[in-house]
Amino acid sequence: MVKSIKVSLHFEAADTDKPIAYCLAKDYDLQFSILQADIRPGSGGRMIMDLSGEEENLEKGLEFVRSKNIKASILSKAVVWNDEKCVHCGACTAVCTHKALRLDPGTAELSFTNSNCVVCEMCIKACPTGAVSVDIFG
Amino acid sequence: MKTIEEINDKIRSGSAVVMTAEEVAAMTKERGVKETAKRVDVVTTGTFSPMCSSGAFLNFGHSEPPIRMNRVLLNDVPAYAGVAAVDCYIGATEASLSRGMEYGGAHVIEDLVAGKAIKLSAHSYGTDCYPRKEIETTVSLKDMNQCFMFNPRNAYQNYSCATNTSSTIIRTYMGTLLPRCANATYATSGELSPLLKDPELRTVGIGTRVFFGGAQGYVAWAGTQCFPGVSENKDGSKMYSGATLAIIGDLKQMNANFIRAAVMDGYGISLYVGIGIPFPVLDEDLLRQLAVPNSELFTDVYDYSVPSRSRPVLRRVSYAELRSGEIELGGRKVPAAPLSSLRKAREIAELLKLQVREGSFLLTEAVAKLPSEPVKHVLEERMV
Repeated sequence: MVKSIKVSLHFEAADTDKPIAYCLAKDYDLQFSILQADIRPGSGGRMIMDLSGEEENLEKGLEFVRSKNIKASILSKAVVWNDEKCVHCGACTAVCTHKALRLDPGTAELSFTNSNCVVCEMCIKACPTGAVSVDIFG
Repeated sequence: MKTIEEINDKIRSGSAVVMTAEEVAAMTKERGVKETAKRVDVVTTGTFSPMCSSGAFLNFGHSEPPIRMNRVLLNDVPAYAGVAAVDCYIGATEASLSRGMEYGGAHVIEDLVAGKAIKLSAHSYGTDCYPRKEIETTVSLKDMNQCFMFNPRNAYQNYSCATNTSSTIIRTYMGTLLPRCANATYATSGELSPLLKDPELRTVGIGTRVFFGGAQGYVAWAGTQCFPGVSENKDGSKMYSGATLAIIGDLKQMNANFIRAAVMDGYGISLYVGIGIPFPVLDEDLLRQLAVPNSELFTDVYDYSVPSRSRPVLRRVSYAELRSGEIELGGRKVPAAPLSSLRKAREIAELLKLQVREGSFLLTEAVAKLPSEPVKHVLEERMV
């Protein structure tokens, strides 16, 4: 089964020269896009990749990465609601068909239930004050 | 029968009974109009909604050598400088030259109220008395002269509920409307909404003191497009709509809690303005209006997919139905979402209640009735 995951790879200073992306594509048949990368020789760094391929290959690919002394953690994209920016108007609830963003009928306060969220991202633009965002760091 | 002066005397002596419109609706239901009118002196209201027709006059003071500014940018947002040398008007909906809809006049106003410094960049053609041709500096509220918000149209008495019967998503000033009536939005705080509680404007007029973005502001005039009207429902109940207020108040006294920038996706920039009006309970008639609950306040549902100045009305709904989170539309339950914050409206009504109780907010007798413009004009296209 083809799956898609986001991973964050942490490189130690000594490992910055390893051609990880190349190996993942060539040896494990994984498609990748690099979402973010800041790796410097001598100080290490982090790269965030979107990887897709057969589930088995994804597992083997991650095993390979870890065998090269690179820490790999799987990220899930998540919607983040910032209570400080929120004015509790409810505009986001108009587009949240999964009812992850809800107004309490009694207190009129907005709340966000992460488990209901399918990360459709409709709320991001519907929010007039920029109180909802997507965080790829989970 | 009480007069405003008698009520103010009670406020000064600390004996006035002040309640929010929600509390007085509940009390009236329980104890009746007569008893409630006797017991309660002041009823407070509140609303916190995007109000596009907003902006502020700023006076920067003079630089050395001085400049007669004829082009002004505030954080790259153009302000109107066609007034005197260092005066300008920053309109809420003006978009940034570099960031477009993401940042605009409303954000400049919010940032100023929050105490932040704003980049001012101004140009001039230079005159004998104002030789300077450009200036770049930063300004913040505390180091400017008079800064007052002057909003030509705020506090809409009532507003339509919006839905979309078309097959595509539309982005409007009423928020994102999903295809085939998959949602509906509305923007009034219902039984807390100031002008719905004194629908015939018996006590609101020019000079009325109001809670305005955290400061004490004043009704300056009838708002633009102020067309108060009433229509009767089948059961004899009434739907009021159409009144608006032009409001003026000191920007320096405002609080970022009650002035917030808004971006309506695909439409543009607006400004959330927090407004509250305390109403004197002059007699039983007025109390009866002040106590009207959401179930007896109505608005019409319009089809916003028709881009015309007269959109079709789909039905009339009560604010109680809207507040339930779902309205019935064409035999289906449609999710209804507000654009104005009920939580903030309550916060304003509660804060105003405290201010009136402690005597820091006295009621006012209007200086004059709001001028009415009974004929509603439309813009005709003529040969030029």
